[in-house]
Amino acid sequence: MTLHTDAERSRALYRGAFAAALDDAAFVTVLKEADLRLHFVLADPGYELSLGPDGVHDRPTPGPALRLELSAATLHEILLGRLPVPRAVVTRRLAVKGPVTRLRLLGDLLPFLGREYARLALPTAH
Amino acid sequence: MTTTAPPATTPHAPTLSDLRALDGAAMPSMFRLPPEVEELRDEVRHYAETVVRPRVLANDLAPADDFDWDTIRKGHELGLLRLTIPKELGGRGVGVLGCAVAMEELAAVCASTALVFGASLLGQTSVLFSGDRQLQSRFLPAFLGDEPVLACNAITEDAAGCDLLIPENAGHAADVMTARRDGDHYVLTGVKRFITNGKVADWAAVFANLEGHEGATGLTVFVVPLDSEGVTRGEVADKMGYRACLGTTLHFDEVRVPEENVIFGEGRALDYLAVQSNQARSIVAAISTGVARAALTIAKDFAGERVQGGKPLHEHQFTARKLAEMSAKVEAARLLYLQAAYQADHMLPAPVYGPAVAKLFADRAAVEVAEEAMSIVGARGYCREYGVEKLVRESFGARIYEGTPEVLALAITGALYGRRP
Repeated sequence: MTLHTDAERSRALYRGAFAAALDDAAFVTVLKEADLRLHFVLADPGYELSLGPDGVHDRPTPGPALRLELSAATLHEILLGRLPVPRAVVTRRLAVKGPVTRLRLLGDLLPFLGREYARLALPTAH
Repeated sequence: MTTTAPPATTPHAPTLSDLRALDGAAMPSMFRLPPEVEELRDEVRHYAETVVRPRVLANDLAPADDFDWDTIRKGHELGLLRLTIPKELGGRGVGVLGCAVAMEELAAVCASTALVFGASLLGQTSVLFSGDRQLQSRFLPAFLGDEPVLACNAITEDAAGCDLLIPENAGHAADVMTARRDGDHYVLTGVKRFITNGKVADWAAVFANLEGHEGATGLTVFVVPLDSEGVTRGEVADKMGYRACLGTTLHFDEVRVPEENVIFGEGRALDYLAVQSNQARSIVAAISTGVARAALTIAKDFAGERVQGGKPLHEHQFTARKLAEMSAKVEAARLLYLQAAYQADHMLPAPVYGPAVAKLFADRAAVEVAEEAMSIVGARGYCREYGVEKLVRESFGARIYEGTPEVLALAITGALYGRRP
């Protein structure tokens, strides 16, 4: 997984995908209706990204958030649809903190993020 | 000369044992329930007192295979069979915390009725947590209709039960019900025992081991409609307590289940159980807390009215000590289950430790508080009219299902010594 061995390269890739998704009005609508930020803590290679209707940030921003703790490689698999979120949880590759009863909303958001991520990542994947 | 009247006893003074005390503005916010859970608690309390309580004795004395659909129907009208279904899917969306608080309220009147709802909600967890929208669209809408529909988990067999939750014991899985792959279906054969709601549920989350797999590596969860060809509902266990809910044998004889009914994929049952058991243990701890609270209430009322040696029982130091210890156990049990349920709603996977500790403590508290209530109420407590003997019988039940003290001890020490989270 050379895409995500370097923290800065990995961060730039996810940041780019998230920012592109925010250009889609439909995605922003879903995100606003969810009234929820997604805070990714990517322990490997070691950085954080916070996604909300107002943009992508490198640190947690105020407001209710689902904190998703996983590796950048696991997020790669989730966004490409290769690893369902519930399976990532039960196999302990993903830990979620926050109002987990709203985890279902991820299902509405992931297709947008996945589409943009695939567009950026797959042409360069090794 | 004026005489001073003795201080009036206040047998119904508010105590922390009335969950409403958690509403008070004086309570720190960390101990206050969310508004929607407070509202639910009050609704469930009213239902329990007005619908469930008048039928408790009749249901307890009824033949083992009688089932009081009318009581369940009225609870369904309140939304008790869709508590954990998200609001956007038509449920009440109160999470494990709301579910647990509702179960305490029900169990304070009838633990057996609480278990009917609780077992169905835990059965739903498989479909809810799968995140699989085709499964959700097939199996959840029934809980939103006018008529009550129940679900159940089918885990226990002669050879295995909650011990499967201990990874070191998972070798037993080789002996459990088998599933054989046949094209785009699986074929399930085996016998499940003591399945709560098994007699009356529409479908079950069935745990079976795929043929040809070592140990628990093939243990898989299947959603099985119980009207499938090859499913037979067997005898109902004639239990000493929890008589309003039916524990049934389910026979599976070459039952064909489509592959889309598999939860999480092949061999994922233990992973799923680790998540589901945290919810289950929080909810059972709440039921035990309700049983303990009911016993405390009966003992408190009796000790406030019964006069011996010229003063009420509760003014006798030995009885006062008993009541104080009972109160402490109820309060501690409640705080532990609230904490465990909160964790289940805010952490995935939830840590095993909190729910296991909550259930271990609350189950024991229920047994001890019910026994002390019996000793305070005396001969009347030994008779059916006060309801204490039912609480004693049911307090032992919760120590068996969803984790015996022995299994919980292994889970807790596993966490203490870092063998598992």
